Amino acid sequence: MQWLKRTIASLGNSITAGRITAIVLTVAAAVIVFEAGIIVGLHKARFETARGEHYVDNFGPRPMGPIGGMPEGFPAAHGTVGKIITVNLPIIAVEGPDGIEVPVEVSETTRIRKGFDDIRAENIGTGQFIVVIGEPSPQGRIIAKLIRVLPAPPVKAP
Amino acid sequence: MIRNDYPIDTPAGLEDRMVFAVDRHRKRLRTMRLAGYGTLSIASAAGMIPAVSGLATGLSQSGFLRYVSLAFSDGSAVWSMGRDFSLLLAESIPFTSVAASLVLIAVLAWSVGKITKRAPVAPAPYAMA
Repeated sequence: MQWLKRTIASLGNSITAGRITAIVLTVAAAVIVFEAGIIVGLHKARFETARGEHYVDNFGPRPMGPIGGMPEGFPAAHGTVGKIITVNLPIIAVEGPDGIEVPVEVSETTRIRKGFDDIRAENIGTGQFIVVIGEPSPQGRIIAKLIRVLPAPPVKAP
Repeated sequence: MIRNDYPIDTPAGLEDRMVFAVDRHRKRLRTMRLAGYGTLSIASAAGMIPAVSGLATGLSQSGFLRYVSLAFSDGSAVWSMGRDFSLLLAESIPFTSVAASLVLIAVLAWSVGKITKRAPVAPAPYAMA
């Protein structure tokens, strides 16, 4: 047992052990970040696929003519923020951060907050600015768990 | 200690000239390194301006700041849906801008650290007397 204690003590004091620990921790951190990136990317890609497949179900037929440029990235799958375009309960269409329309489904358990008060879904209207937290559904919607109605952000001068 | 088994006659003043040459070489090396680290510091500090500006725009446009603000305005509700909230933050954080800003901050800190370590120190007052 004495030799084991000596070995552990020498390992603890050596620079090599410190370097090995640092390398192992760095690799572990890189693997965790990589894995997190895969999970997040997978969620966003699945949501975007479902959103595209159920676009007509959620928003109706696409307007004819040019549909504009491709968005730079996928919308977040677990929430959105932006202005309400249409309200057709239980579906609310929100213009997301990249100008992408995101369908938000309001359920009976959805908590809707405005200021310090809880409000009902019927009090939500077009043009209001909201932040949503929820979870993605297979129909390409965000099933809202929390909706916070915010004051509209100031309009930037052109 | 150098053993002198084969004594030879060295030219007068050779040792002084060698010491002077080594000293001059060291000074030149130090100056070049300082110039290199200085250039790196200035470049990284200049790069910080567009990087931080891009980061601010990215945080604002992706809605990240709005989501974070929810944690303060609706804390208890947000914490009860911690998984969705953390995934939402991970989905909306502008990784490229964050990574670029962090790399530039690290380079700036490293190069400034090298400069302060290698910069010539002013002689102490008592040494000048």
